Amino acid sequence: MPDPILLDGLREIGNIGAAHATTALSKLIGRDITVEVSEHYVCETHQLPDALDDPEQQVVAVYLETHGAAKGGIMLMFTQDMATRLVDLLLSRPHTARELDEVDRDAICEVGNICASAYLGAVAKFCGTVLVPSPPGVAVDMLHAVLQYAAALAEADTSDLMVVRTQILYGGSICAGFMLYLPDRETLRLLDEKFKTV
Amino acid sequence: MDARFEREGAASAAVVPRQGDRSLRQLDGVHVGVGEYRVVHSPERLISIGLGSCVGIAIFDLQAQVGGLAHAMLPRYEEGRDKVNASKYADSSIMLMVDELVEMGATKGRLKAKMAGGAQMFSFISSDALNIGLRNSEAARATLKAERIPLLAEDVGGTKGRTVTFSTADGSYRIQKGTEVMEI
Repeated sequence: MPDPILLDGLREIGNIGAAHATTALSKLIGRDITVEVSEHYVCETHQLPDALDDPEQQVVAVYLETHGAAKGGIMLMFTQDMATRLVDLLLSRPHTARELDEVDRDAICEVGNICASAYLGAVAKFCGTVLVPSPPGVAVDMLHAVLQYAAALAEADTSDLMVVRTQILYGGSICAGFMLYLPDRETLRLLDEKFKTV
Repeated sequence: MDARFEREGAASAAVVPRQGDRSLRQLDGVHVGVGEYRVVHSPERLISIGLGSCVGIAIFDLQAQVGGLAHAMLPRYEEGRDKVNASKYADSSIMLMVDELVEMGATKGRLKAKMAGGAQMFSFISSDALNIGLRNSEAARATLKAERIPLLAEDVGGTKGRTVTFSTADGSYRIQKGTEVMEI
């Protein structure tokens, strides 16, 4: 069983990282984007796809890997409606309900990029190291299917996954989506070292 | 063959909160989760929800009225880090499933297979190492060939996730991709 100090620390890191991410996003789109208190899960990699909500719901997911001193994955997930809303705000145009087109995909990648960079910046600062995100990839698909991909990549490092989940709120109360952080064992080791010396 | 892998042990207690409307879980049949396989007697149906880069490999003997479905997340046992749960891998899950089907009365020479999944979900990935979907379907195909199990039909690759239902009664394999439904 993971160390409770590490778990508490991880949740706190999630809160700080997500706060940075949403501040960056709020500035970008000029609307109030906030976060709920982060939760952490401990599960086996193959359980991740079933760990959240309705497995067949359609989501817009942006996935980035972290590079630098340690690896890991970051995934942002939005409903289709919220993704197109964010894009329209980003491009300063009125919102229209639609399927994601190429422009939307690029724009939502950029949203992912900004959020992940801010999030990782906060984690890296705490660890006293450098973590940078890879170029983002986007998928519009079932929640279960996109999480499988993240799980399969994480499996190369560990079977026991630590997941920090932060809910993203739009306009103070509406759930816009989720941000998942999947640190690898090296990141956890770095964090653990820091937590023990604080 | 069994000696090469440990059978799937009792899963450790998960600390996974479940929430939301899981109405689709009520689809009639046995659900096969990620990294698992299930073998059943006819006319039971086997269901895997939301196959992304994973592959859903169905193996069956219509005459003996038995069939199984594996939901494999990674290509090869040998390349994998986890050596305890062999059902995670496309190659070892096929071998384990075949053994169990034979124990249940199937004749190995009569076994047939169908598969679906192995999508490339994310748009950015260029390197083969990251294309897990493709590697999963290739490993499954190679293993079926080595085991001399004819692969009657497949629907693999693409960018879309799939929900699949395999019927052991008639060997039909139903695939749902978004709003598109097909049967192989």
